Amino acid sequence: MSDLDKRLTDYYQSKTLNSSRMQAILAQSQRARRRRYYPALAAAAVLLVAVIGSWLGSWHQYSLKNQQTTLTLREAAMNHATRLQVDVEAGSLSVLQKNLNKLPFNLVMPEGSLYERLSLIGGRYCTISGNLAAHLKFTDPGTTEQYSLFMTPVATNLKSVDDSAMQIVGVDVSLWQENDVVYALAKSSVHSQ
Amino acid sequence: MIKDQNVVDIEYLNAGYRYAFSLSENQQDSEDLVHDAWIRLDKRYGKCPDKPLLFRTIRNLFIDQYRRKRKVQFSDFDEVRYDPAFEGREPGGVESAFETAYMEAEALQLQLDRLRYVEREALYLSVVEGYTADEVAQMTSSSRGTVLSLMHRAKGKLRRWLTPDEATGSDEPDNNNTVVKLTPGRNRS
Repeated sequence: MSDLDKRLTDYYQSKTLNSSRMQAILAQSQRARRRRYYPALAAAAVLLVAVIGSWLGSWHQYSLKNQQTTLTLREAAMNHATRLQVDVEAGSLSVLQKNLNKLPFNLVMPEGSLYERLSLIGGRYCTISGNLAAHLKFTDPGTTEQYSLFMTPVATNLKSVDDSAMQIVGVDVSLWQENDVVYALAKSSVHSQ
Repeated sequence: MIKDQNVVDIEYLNAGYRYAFSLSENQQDSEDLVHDAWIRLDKRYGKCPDKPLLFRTIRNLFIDQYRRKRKVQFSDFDEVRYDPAFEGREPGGVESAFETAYMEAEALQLQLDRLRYVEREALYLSVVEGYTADEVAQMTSSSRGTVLSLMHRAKGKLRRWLTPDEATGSDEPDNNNTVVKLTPGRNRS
């Protein structure tokens, strides 16, 4: 290294960045580096909130739906268990329809072979979840068991009910939707009789 | 062995500052240049990736500023700067080794100031940073021949100017940032 090179090296090596400016740059740099992660963190937070919100919403919906189904099942079971007298005694659906003339819908039997062996006793007005409904009473000639069939058109608050079955206060009750009609069939449990 | 990022940052910042100083020969400008370049790289890459990129960013910023100054400050072309460090001092009149070193550094600074920035830059990158002529050419977007020529001319000028008999010699400065050593009474007015 020549003398000039050494002088140049010494001269430039003696130059160092002012310590306060060095600290200012490093501090600003740290802040800038942290800020780089802010969008990612914000996106992650938004995603997390969206996922949790969606999950809570679904859970809430499921909970409401489940609650409505249970309430409807319980109402059908209680109506069956109280064994109220029929308003109209009738052996056929057409006679019953004619006499229960305040019903805003036609009485239609659901599909299934069960109803072929049951004998219609009569029917009465009732409500299911606040909606006017028909309560048809049947008896099984072979076992003398009594059945209650409830039917009402699918109203807004009944759209969410699921097909389900449950035993409530000694009553086996099942609930389903068929051709825009909500049906509930109830009969006293065998072991509770 | 992996160095602590903070240590690397400090090394780069000091190297960047020296490089900026080789371009501008001004402390404040150099600090601003390295500061701006560092923050610019931080925003783009999240850190300073390497020294050559830092130097390139500083160089671009410096050239932008240099062009702006040239556009505005026409009167600077023939300006002669008076340096108070030389007031009342005679060559050989120093009293200690420390003072001698200081005077030599001052003299070198004054003569470096007379060089064109491209000459100082070539000298700094080659002599102080140890880059080869090819590497300097790549960093400064010029040819190897140009770099070698700049270094040769710069060293020749410095050797002549730093020789006591020729310190006030007749070399015409090549650029507009002229600094001439003056003693009181010789200032043009």
